Amino acid sequence: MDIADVEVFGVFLQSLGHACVNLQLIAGEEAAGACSVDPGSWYPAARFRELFEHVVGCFPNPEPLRERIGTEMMKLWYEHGPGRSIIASAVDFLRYQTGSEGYHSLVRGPESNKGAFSLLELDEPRGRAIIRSTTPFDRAMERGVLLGGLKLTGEVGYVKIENTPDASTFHVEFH
Amino acid sequence: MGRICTAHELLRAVAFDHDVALDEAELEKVFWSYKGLELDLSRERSFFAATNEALARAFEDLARSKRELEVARRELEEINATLEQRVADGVAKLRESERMAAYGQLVAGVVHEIRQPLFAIKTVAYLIAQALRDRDEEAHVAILRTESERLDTLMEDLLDFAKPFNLMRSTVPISVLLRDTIAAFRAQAPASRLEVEVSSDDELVAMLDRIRIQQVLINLLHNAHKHASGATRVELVARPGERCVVITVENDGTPIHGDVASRAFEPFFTTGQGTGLGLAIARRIIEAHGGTIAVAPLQIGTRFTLSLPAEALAG
Repeated sequence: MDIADVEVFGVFLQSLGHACVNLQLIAGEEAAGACSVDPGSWYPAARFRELFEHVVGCFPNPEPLRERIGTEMMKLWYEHGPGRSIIASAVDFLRYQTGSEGYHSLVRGPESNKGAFSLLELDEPRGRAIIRSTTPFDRAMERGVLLGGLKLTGEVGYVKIENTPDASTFHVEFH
Repeated sequence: MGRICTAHELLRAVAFDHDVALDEAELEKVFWSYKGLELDLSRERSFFAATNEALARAFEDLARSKRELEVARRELEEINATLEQRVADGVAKLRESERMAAYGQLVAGVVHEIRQPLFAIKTVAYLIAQALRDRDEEAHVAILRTESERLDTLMEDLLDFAKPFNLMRSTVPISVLLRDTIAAFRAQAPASRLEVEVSSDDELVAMLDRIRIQQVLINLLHNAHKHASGATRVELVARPGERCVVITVENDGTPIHGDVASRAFEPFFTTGQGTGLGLAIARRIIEAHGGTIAVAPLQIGTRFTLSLPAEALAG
């Protein structure tokens, strides 16, 4: 997907840098460069993707890292960003994805290029939800974002997310 | 950790403290809490396995780099040592050539001054010998002539030893060189009854100054003819060595004495015959080719070994 005209909000890019630092995936000048972002400005989405791919590209088996980076980013968004003021529960977090509201607060650009990250179904009593992603970002990282987001408030003990065989459709189970 | 505590507290409440049953919702909470914990642990395990794998690879790369650096360091040290040795050799050669150049100038001047009166002495000795033919005094004049000739030879050797020379290298088939050497020796010493045998690979070819190497080999044949007591046979053998051409000249005379062998190539060292410069000149010629010459006594006879380095190998 072409992301030439897509931009990400500074706090989103900064979260990626901090997540990589917290997970000790980068250090030194590289870490300083990744974190030197104005959280209130907009940046090309390519910068986000390049940093992400560069970091995970250093590992022979990066799949668990991709997911973990997403989870760590959500911790930072919640603890040090606007997350705490936006959501109070796991279900809040899922509802926040309705109509890609959450995604579009962090990513902007032509619809066809920026895609969507939206809640399709929510069965709160059974602890089930379906999220559909058409973003230009990594699906394993997005699985981590969901995982981290659902556990942010601490009232949910069990979160399982399946996105196979269709990587873009996330089947969420939470209790 | 919070979930572990919650689940544990709930379990404790059942198992140890009170006989109070948890309601269904609480039990379900404990169940999912532990299930979630199991899933999280599985995710943690995957994450750490991925980072550990990367760490293991990084350590392997580091170890490999360290080994490669060590090899490179050793190679550099060897190159450095070789370079230092080459510089030292070069400086020594330069000093030697400067010394020899000065020495050569001096010797050339002295030889020139001696040769003029010597030529006059030889001429007069010849005339006196003609006049005294068939008389008893002729023997005295013969001594005069012989000694004049010896002095003349000494002057030639001195000049040859002292003057600087440049090698005129060309591609030389070794078997041809050895055959020409024997022919030249026969012409110079027709009275010699030495049996000379040659053994060489017809394919063996080298870049040499043919005249100079032949001069060395003839000198060694003369050496066997004149100085190796009881020598009847000389064997010239040429063979390819390890990055060099090796030529041996072996006679079957009385073996050279150990003390003599160690000093054989010193200028003016002689056992009483000759000028003492022949082998010194031979060594100079071989070393100018970058090679070595050595002498060793055998059980029967003496062997001279010439080794000319790989640069001399042609083709």
